Amino acid sequence: LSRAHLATLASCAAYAAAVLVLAVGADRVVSARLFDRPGTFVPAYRSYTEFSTGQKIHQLRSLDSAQFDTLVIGDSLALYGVDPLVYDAAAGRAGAPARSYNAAIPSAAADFWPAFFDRWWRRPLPCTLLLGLQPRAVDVEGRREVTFASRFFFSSDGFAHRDMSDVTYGSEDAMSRLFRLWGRRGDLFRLSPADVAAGRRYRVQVVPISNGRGWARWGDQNDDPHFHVPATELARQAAAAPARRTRGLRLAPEADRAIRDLAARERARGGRLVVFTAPTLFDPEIYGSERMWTELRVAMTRMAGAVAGMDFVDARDELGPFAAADFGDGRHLNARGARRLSTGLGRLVARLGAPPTCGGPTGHR
Amino acid sequence: LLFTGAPFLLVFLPLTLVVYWVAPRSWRLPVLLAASYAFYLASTPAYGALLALSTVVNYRLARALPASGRPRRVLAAGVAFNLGVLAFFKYAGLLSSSGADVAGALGLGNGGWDGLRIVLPLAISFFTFEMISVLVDVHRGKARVGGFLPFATYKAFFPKLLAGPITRYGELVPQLEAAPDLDAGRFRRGMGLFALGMLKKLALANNLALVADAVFEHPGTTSAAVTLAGILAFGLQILFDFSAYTDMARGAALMLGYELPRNFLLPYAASSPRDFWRRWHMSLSRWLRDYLYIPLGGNRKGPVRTRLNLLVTMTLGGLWHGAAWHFAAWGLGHGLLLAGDRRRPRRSWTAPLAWVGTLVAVLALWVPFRASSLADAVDVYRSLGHFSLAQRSFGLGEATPLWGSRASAALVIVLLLAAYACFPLADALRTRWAGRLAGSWSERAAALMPATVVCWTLALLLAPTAARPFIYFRF
Repeated sequence: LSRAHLATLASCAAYAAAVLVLAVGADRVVSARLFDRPGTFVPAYRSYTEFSTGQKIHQLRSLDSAQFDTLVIGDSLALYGVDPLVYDAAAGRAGAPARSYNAAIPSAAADFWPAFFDRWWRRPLPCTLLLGLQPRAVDVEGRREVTFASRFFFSSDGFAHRDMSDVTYGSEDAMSRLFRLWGRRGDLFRLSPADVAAGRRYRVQVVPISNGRGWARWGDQNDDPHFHVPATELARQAAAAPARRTRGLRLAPEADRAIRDLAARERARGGRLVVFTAPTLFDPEIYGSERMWTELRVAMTRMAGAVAGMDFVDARDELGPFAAADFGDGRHLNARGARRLSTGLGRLVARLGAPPTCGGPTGHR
Repeated sequence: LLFTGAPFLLVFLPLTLVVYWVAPRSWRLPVLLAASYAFYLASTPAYGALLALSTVVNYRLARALPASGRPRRVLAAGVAFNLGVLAFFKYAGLLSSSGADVAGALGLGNGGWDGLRIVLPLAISFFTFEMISVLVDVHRGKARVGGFLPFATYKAFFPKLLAGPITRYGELVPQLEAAPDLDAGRFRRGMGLFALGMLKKLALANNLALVADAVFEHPGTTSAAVTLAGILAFGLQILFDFSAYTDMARGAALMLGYELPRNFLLPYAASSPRDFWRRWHMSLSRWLRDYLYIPLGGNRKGPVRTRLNLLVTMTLGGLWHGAAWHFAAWGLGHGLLLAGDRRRPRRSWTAPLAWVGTLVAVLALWVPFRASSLADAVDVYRSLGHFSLAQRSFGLGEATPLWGSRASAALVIVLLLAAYACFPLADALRTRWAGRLAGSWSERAAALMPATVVCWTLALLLAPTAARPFIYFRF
């Protein structure tokens, strides 16, 4: 290597470094103008719109799968509704000790999960999968409304092409830390040009993971009034909610296939899939009428009877009525409600007995 | 590994550049070859062996050609080998499933077999064309294949491997053999061009894709205004998407010290179909002209045969994109346009009409190209007759900083028409400044450090959340 070559190399490296410094500076200036707390980096999986998911993905990745044998999956109803610590204690008291983790992700439809296990989960499945469902997650029309979750989650290069290798994961994370606009791409669409012109900054609604087991406690560290509605107001809203007549549930073929697929995966390793429903106070969604919920439970009961490796627990009915004081809003349970649901669910699942043959050379038991 | 992805930007490219430029000169080609194979294997590990096999076979054939007593047979064998591999991976699935369908329809039964399921190896269309061009050039005495290392590196050169530009042997191999010195100006230009590509892909193409998808993923259900907005959006989406890839490929190559050919020259400024193909996907146009149209006879066998040759060439060019009737229709459409394109004396007052006519024809032909099938394309055309004031705005699959979650059809149409009108203006400026500026104005502007930073920042700021692979990766 000649001296001239080294000098040119140094000049190119200096140029690249200067571009990088300027680009990072521009990124900092712009992100400070757009975000209320630009310096607070919440580990955010860049392809997902909701911060708790980023936190969870980081947390889950760092855990050894041998640390838990039960995985709670589903959407925000399961995310807020099942506290794994409470669940484990209840299951243990009922004679079926469990170590669980709540991997539920807001707006994830049923068919999100097989793809999640295929592309992200690179270890044996836990012996018990607890899948929380609501009508929206499996209905033909409702599913379409929540497929954005899948699109965002699987939109990184790693997911789009192969899988999330360590190199892909590490570089995505490093890039998000280096460039805030990259890491917070999922937030940018929430800012309209009018907001920017008026000097308004986007304040992210942080839904923190409240313990090391993936559970999100409703209202934690969040000053949005939406998360702090008094129980009396919720009770009033519930009483005022009109009874709606809607069409019946139409189970989407993709959702049907996904549930059967999850059951087959568990059956293949001697585990089991337990589908459960969570209570709601009132459900303002068009997919949330009593008729929809009832037909979901009927469909799941039938499916559990026909599909080996699958059980259904109707927590909505079997745990008795929940009160307004158990809810954060009409649909999501608060900490008190989550304690009730988690306890009841632990007891109901324990009643099914332990999966008899789960484990083997790569299993946990 | 996508050019726009974090693994490429943070790991692969910096690592390759450092190792390449720190290595002694004699090690640079092996480093480049290893990096290129690592790049390909990261994307399609199963087909790395196919790339290597194709390289070895074509190298042996190219070396054997000049000394062979029957060079035409060797050439025919080489072309048959390359087309055979391409046909197997690209067309066997379609042919076998069609055969199974026919057998089922005739009541012969298909035994539950519904055809071969073959995963298309990335870049197979591009490297097949390059290998055919090498063999033909060697046969014509225009190229001489030397060492294996430059040959293998030429074939696998990672910046252009996945989606071109389709590079001739004589354009790249002499550069590879010469192993150019690091040039600071070239390096800066490369960084600028790469950032410009990021801007085109993330901020422009991916946002336009949302508008186009709203029409083409629901063919026949949109109003005339929304359909028109979708067609206009796709015309610009595919240009920015593909030219972004080319910019990034050329940028990465420049950082390594190599020049790749241009692929686009303001194509929507074209004043005739012939002019369009001189500006659009220029490396494919040259390939089709030199290795298909001219061997078929070109324009040497009378006007009727010339037109027939154009139709055949362009239809095969369409089928090169995929084994489907809608691609054939796109190619045939362009063949008809070219066959009907006559040189006329230029008058100043006809120039705007010629531009509008060419633009309308090109945009109309993007419909079968983008549609999933010929039937869908017909539905999109029919939608242009659905005049309705009810659907003045339309929902997008994803909210973005640029559009929000809904877009007004009228606003999108006005914005996009204004964007198309910029092409002839930019072309006029380019022509006026041609003598004063070397290289394109966009490349020179992007070479400036502030422009590089602005491109990068705007790309991050305006990009939709969901990543999208480059359109031409499919081909």
